[in-house]
Amino acid sequence: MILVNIDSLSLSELQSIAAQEGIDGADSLSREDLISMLEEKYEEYDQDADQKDPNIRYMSGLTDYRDISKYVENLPGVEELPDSYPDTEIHLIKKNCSWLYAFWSLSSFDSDRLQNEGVTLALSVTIENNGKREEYDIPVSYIDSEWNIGIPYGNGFCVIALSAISRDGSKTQLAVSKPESLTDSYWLSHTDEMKYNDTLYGLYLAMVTTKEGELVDNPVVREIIQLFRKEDTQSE
Amino acid sequence: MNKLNLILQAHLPYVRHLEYPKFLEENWLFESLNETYIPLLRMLEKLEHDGVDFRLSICFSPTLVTMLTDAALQERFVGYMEERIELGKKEKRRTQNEERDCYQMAARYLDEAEKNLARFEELGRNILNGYKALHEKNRLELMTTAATHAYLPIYKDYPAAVNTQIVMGIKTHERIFGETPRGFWLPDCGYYPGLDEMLQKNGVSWCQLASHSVITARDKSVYGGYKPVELPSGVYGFVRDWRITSLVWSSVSGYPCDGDYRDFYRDIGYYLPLDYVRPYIHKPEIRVFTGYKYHAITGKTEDKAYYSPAKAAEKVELHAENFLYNIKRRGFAVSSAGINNPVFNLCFDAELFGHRWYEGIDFLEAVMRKADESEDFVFTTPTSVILENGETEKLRLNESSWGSGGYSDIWLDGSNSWIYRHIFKAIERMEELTKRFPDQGSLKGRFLNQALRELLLAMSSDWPCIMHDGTSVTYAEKRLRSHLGSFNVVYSAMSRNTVNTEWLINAERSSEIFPDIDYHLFEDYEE
Repeated sequence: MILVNIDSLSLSELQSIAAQEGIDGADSLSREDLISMLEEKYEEYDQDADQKDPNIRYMSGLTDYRDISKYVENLPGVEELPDSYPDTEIHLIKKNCSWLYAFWSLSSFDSDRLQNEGVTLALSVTIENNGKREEYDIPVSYIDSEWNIGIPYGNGFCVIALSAISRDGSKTQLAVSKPESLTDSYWLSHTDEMKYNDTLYGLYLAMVTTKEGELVDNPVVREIIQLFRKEDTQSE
Repeated sequence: MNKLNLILQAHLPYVRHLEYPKFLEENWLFESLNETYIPLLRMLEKLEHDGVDFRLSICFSPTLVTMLTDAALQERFVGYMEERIELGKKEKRRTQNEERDCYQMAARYLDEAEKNLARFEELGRNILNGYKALHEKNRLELMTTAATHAYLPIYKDYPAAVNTQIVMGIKTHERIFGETPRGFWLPDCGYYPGLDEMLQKNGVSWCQLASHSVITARDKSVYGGYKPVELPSGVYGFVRDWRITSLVWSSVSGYPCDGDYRDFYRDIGYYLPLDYVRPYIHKPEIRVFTGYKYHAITGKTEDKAYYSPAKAAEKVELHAENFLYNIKRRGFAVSSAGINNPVFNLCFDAELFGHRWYEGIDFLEAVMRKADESEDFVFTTPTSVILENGETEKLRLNESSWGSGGYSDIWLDGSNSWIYRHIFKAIERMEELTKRFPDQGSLKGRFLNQALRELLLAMSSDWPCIMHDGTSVTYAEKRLRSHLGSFNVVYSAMSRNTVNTEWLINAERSSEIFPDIDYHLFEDYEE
């Protein structure tokens, strides 16, 4: 909990508290006037509530927000952040070995122009894996701004573009992400080699397994173990 | 011989709110100082005094060292400790009369608090002086991490931002400890291909890596992580041993879960009458931890037994023995696979010991003493291992972390993904500012430096992590929005080619971190 020193409060903080306390025209009052009016207000509270701690009365205006996330944007000192930025761009972040997170923005100029032309939007996904290329589109709306993209394991990359699809079906790239690497593990493609080397297998497992036999929380490790067991069963 | 590489990471986000007489989140620092950083130092000094041959590595994050050397926060910590001592004296009287089962622990907490405060004052209120002295005696390898502990894989499309995190981490270490660190703690073990090259360009010799990074590597490993990994740039990676660290770390079966150990949650701040604890909690009546805790974990029950220091001490001995036994057993197995003198990399958050696990520092002490008495173990440091020129193997690794699932899910989920839209834009705008204003000195230079400072603070991994965990979410959001908002103040003003001087002075005062920051860092980086 915060204890507020009245002398340290900025004008905007005082205005925010005053507004919450129902003081009219708080935005146009000076710092001195605000302090004076808040003092009067709190003196009334003190009499009503038998509240004598001078710190407490200044606190409520700033600390009632705690654990009430919906009020956080109204806090004094916290800047409003825009919902989007005036640029058309797209980004791709690797979330884990199976999913990428994409987010994008469309400038209001582009958005207005494209909507007037009856253009639809799509995410154009390109995945190049072990020399093979896969391409597909995911239709998105003008209010969408993020998407999760599933990816395979392998030696390659994924790149996405925000595309404009015209009425005649022609496609124009509005923005392209930087490529994101796929997860490429030696043992995912060499499990047959592992089965001839139990010592190595045991060595690997030792570091990623607890003494109770619990495996480290990782999907690629689980996949490798499953592939190995499958190979091992087939060879018996 | 089994080589033990104990690597502790001490990190807290930069929290400093001098505008308030007291600020709840500043207690993160004070509790960690009183329960981990000072007791750990005192324990290591005792080992040194007793001639125990020990070594370990500690990473003090740039945000933490900044707070530890901040005179105003040091002064506040003294006030915090004086309150704890005053409460301890009251607790001794109370428990003597009312709750005699707790008297011994009340006296012990008081004694610990007094000793911690005394050591703090002896060190000129800067505990890093104590750690530095141990480093000079070759007991500690001190390392650094990213400037604000940013989780770096998420920022890999912005090499200038990642490089600035690395450079400011190193510069802060140099300023505080007077030498260039060889080791760099990857925040949350977050690695991506290419990151090691940036570390290498900045003179880093080694970093630590997530446990699964070897079995999932792009190349075939022969040593399975029991020898250093040579990354493509030549930087060495030390792979965290999940099996051994889980003996401590597991929230289900780890040693700290033992029923005889002290319960972390049951604190008099939460159950004694308000009138009694009011001076030691937050006003008006927000109950918080006071540090005075008298119950044992006991089990999954509300009915907790009183804590017995004697029983806990017995368990510490048993667990230290068991820990070394497990390493020795693994050592045999690894040696039988043809790998001699395996290196066990034991990476932990420092605050686990003492703060979360009350007996944790006693455990570390017992492990180090027992290892010293045995011929089966030697504590070492990564730099020592590298200098021995022993076996290593070259590997190409995938992106990885020690977070849940082994990737970036913690820092990129439904609760926090929205932040990257804003942080990425701020990074792009910082790049734009450095290009548009390449030669600014004086006031405009300071203004641009402040923009970079705010950007680095916004990049801290703590904010998305707190959002993911659902703890102190409001505070994390407020901090993030505040830093990005402040960045936008500079961007907007510089777009009009003006400087808001009054704002700048206030902003510099409120974030007294990275005094040597230089916005040209963004411009200088060459891929």
